[in-house]
Amino acid sequence: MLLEVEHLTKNFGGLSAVNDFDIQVAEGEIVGLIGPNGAGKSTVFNLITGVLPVTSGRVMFDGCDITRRQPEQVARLGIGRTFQLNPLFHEFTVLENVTSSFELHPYSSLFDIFFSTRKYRRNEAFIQEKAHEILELVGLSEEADELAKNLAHGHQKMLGVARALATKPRLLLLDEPLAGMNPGEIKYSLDAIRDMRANGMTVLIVEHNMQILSLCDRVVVIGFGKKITEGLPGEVRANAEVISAYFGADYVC
Amino acid sequence: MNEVMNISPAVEESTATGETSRTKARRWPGMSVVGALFIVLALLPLGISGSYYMHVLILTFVYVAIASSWRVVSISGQFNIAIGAFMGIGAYAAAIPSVWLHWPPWVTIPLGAVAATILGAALAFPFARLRTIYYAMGTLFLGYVVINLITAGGKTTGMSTGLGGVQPLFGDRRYYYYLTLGLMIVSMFSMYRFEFSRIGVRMKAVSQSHQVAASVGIGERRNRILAVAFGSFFAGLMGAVYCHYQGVASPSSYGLGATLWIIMYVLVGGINSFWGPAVGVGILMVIPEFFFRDLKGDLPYVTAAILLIIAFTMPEGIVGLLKLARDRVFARLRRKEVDLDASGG
Amino acid sequence: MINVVLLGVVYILMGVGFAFILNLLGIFNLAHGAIFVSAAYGCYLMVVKLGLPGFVAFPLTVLAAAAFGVLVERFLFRPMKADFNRTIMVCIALSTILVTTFNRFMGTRALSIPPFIAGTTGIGPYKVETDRILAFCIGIVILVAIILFVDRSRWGARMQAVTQNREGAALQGIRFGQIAAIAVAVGFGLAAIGGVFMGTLYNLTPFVGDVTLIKVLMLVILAGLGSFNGIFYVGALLGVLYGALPVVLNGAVVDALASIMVLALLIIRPRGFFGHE
Repeated sequence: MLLEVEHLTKNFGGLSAVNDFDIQVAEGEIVGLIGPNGAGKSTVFNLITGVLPVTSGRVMFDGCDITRRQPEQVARLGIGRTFQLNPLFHEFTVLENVTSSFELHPYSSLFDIFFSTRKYRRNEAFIQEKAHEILELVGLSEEADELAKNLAHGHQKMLGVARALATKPRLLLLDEPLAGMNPGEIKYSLDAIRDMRANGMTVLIVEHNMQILSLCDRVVVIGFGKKITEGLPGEVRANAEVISAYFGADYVC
Repeated sequence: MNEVMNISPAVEESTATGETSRTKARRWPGMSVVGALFIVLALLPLGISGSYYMHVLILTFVYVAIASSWRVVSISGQFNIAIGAFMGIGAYAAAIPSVWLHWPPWVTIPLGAVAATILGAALAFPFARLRTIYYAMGTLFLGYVVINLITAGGKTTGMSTGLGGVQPLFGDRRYYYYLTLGLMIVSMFSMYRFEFSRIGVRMKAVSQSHQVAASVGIGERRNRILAVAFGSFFAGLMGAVYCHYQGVASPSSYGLGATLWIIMYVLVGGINSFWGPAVGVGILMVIPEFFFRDLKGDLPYVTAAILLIIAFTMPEGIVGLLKLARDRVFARLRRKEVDLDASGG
Repeated sequence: MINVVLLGVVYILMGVGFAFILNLLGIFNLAHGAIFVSAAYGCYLMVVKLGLPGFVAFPLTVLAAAAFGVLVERFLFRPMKADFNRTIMVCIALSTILVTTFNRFMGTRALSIPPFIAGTTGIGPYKVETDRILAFCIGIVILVAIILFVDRSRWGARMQAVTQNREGAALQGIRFGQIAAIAVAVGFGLAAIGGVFMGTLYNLTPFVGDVTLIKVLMLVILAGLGSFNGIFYVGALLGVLYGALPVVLNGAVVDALASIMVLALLIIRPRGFFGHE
């Protein structure tokens, strides 16, 4: 298993946002984590990536305990992510957003950077080239020199994905990649995620849009911070009606 | 409301073209101006003999480096109101061994710079928890604590009257001129490397969103501490050199007032521009001292007037205004090219 | 003893004035100290040079300061559009102009406003200058009035609305310009009251303002940025600290202690004693 989360619990004051939650993701798998608003999906992401401190439980990534790591250390180990509200480096251009995310590889030491050694210059040239490739992949090469804040909403979302890809993650966490998108953009994003699957990327997606189900190998349903059910997309879709009967129609969108 | 609507597309256009046209060729003329200026400054002592003007220029070089070091810290999103204190740490770390142990200046000056760097990094550690206005206020009181400790330091620090008798480096003011000019050029070059390389990109990334920066592996704390340590090095170095030049270290030169004026230099020149601090020091220090010297006690009115003019007419400082003008000109040229292309095709 | 209490009152007056401007306009009024000094000098000039009695000069000074506040808000603060960098430039320019003016025309010699009432009152052997008691009473009355103003009056309610959510308040038809003008007027007025008190009790030089500004910042941070009630408690605490401790300790040591306390608090709990998360 690439990612193993066991008995994950998070309390905010007396409130428990995530309660004894388990999830596993194997190499090369696309796993969906679905549930209604406020179910604790994004909290799970923030706990995995170290943005929030875990109350109890354990997060293992590739056999290494990352429960108490800082967010940047988690990123260094190979977990890339996007954010729900999708913050960007607004004052950077689209290209700079991507190049600045090439922190981890190729790695240049402070000494290399400051004295502009040959290694640093070679790395930077490589990064420029790769960044253009990634922008091509997500369809933003036209906007490369635009400031990130001037992009349309859908393009900003894709830029968030491009940035996460630039860290060359072994596991990619996508936090509501479809939220706030129009149908055209949704179709485009689904294609992009399908491409990732073709490239053998391991992805964990948080969504409450059920269209994502078609892409997933496995789906985990979370409600009130607890795992409700888990299974193949088809099973979950059938189950969804049961769930909506229990929790009200709003429960599954 | 309508007016606002009409203006906005034009504004967007100008920023967009400004961004695309940020090429090396464009930066070229600016760099040659700077190079020419350095050569003129290097030759100047042959022309001016008045030691007062030389004194003002020495002061200018020192403060250009210090104001730039403040700006370098600020690109990581840290509004540090303790820069004067780090200058003071450098000065006292040089002055105390110089006065009481008679260490030679060539030892005490590097000692001052190193002391400021180490203390800067150590103090930056707890402060990396604080952001925005809380960081600004925290550093303000940090500066205040340092000054108070110096003032309460008894005979060792000379209390509020300052510590006199710091050994001079040279007998001739001209040597100080070249030393400070050289140190300024080296500092500016280092800071240029720092900002316009991947290090600067990290700093700017952290300042825009620490959350996103962390998600791509750019640690907030480590980079902020690095920025403070780097900035404090130059503040401490120049503080030490300046105190050897003056022969005295006194707490009033490093307090809140001094720090706020350093920040004013940066804001007048333009906080978002690398050459902003240098221009700001030039405007606020050289112009009043060279041209309005006869006003003596009324001199602060001139500086206050400059501040007001800048605040009212140039939100991005002087260099910011120049950049805007440049972008306008290039945008116009570009539009002409497009027109020509269109008519040609 | 009365000095300690009075010092506390002065700090609270200054702190409340500063907080008014900070909470409503988002401006760190670094000219607050200069306003404080200007008011003290203004009052001094009226009493000594024009020979006005203290009871006339005092309200005149406060009104003048408030009027000045309205002008400053309209012509200096408002055009800056709450841009942090530009507002501190303006504040420093204003402060420089005021301090330089008093430095030029009054000199750096320490002055003191003559007491409004001479003589002492007291019970048995414990005698206190009457003007100190009077100042204390006036200060308390004004503080109570301010609390009532904020809590009970219509303008106070509007101010609280603007503090919480400026856009929302604007949608309710509250005009920000008016509120801002009142806030700055009240802020400057309170600073002026503090200045006159300090001028009568202690010596006055053009540079007292900087020292006071630091104390005010200390107070506002200890109370928590944006907190209003905290200022009263922390102001009293600082009054005790600065009124009583210098008797046994060196002034610089007290300053260092107080500022280390502020630093520790900022790092452990950045929102201050009374700030909410």
